[in-house]
Amino acid sequence: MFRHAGAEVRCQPVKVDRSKLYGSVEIEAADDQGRPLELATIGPDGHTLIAAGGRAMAFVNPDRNWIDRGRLRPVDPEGRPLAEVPSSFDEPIQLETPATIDDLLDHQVKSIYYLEMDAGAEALLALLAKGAIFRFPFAWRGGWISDVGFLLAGQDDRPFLLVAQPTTLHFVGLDQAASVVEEEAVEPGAEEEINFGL
Amino acid sequence: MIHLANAKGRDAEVNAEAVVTPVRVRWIDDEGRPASLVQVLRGTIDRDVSALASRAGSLAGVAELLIDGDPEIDVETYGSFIDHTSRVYVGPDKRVAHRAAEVEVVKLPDGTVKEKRPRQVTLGNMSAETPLRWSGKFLPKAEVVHKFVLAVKTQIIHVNGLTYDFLYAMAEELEQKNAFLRVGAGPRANQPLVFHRGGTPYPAGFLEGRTQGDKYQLVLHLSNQELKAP
Repeated sequence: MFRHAGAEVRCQPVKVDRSKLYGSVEIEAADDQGRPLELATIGPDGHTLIAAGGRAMAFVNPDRNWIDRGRLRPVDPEGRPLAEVPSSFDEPIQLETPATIDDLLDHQVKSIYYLEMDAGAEALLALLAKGAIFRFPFAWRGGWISDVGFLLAGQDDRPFLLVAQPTTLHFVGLDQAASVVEEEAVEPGAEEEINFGL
Repeated sequence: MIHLANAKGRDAEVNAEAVVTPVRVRWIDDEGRPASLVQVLRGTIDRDVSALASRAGSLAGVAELLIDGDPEIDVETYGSFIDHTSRVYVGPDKRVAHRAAEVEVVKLPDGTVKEKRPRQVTLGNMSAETPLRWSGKFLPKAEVVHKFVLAVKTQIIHVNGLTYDFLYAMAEELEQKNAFLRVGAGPRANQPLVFHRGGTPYPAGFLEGRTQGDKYQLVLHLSNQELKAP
């Protein structure tokens, strides 16, 4: 639920991904006899075949010994203790911080939700349709950190929530060359179109 | 690396740096020592349920095996750290298959199968012999962010003094126009961008530039999804 200009706007987030818009492609494999093959993971020794769900994550201390998560506490990168953040569904989200386009571009989008808004959202929708973007802390379930939510209009002026995270984008000068290296004929006008299909 | 051309058709190979989310949470133990996450082995195919059922003769027989011992656990390897794993195909006999015929099953958004076709492996085209051309197609930033999901970013960085000037000038021009440059592969800059062989094709690429004094930020935003509801 959002709170904007003194009014509360209830909405239902609907996750949107490529498969819902364009479909999906799955790979089927078979051996020489036509028997179906399954994907598996092979370990670093080159012969251990790891089952589905055969990997787990564990915390280790600097001595590389396993340590129970209950004995750990979260801190920020500077070592300051972190306080728990509530779920964004516990309280209405205040829409009071406008965001710039550059602000949005500085973040990495993790997930996209189309928002089905209840009646009473007309003023907010009109604002979004004019290009307004709002940002706010967003945590789906709560936890130790919030992501950044951006509320904006998409195509057809429909409202979307983009859940995003800050990035390592930075300005570079002459002395700061990169330290990390990463890894025909067409119909007239056709080059303007972008084909997102499969 | 990425191979770029400017408006004059001059081209250069420059660095493309992955844009990532910095670590925001660290975990420390009660002595203040940092803890790190590792991946450990907890199950192998030769000891999964189907393997045990084969050994026991039936699924019901697996219960007896589990009561009598710990056949699902290999104490020598389980719990060991694993990294640098690879994906392989295995056959019904749970052995690695060294030859596989792959077919793509294309499904519509409702899940129905549209077609089956031989697997099409994409080829990387961002550091190819032919540079990514300066398309000259400028799109207002405000228009693009409301039409596309710019989900992947790569920061373009110079490798020497000459390419610093080359990229700074691009960033400055884009900043002055307050616009993205549409970027695509191929002679008409209209083909999907692919980082590497087998990589995801991105039908839409947008180059963004900003400057701050004598520093610049040139970012290639990639999209394979429009910002629209199903």
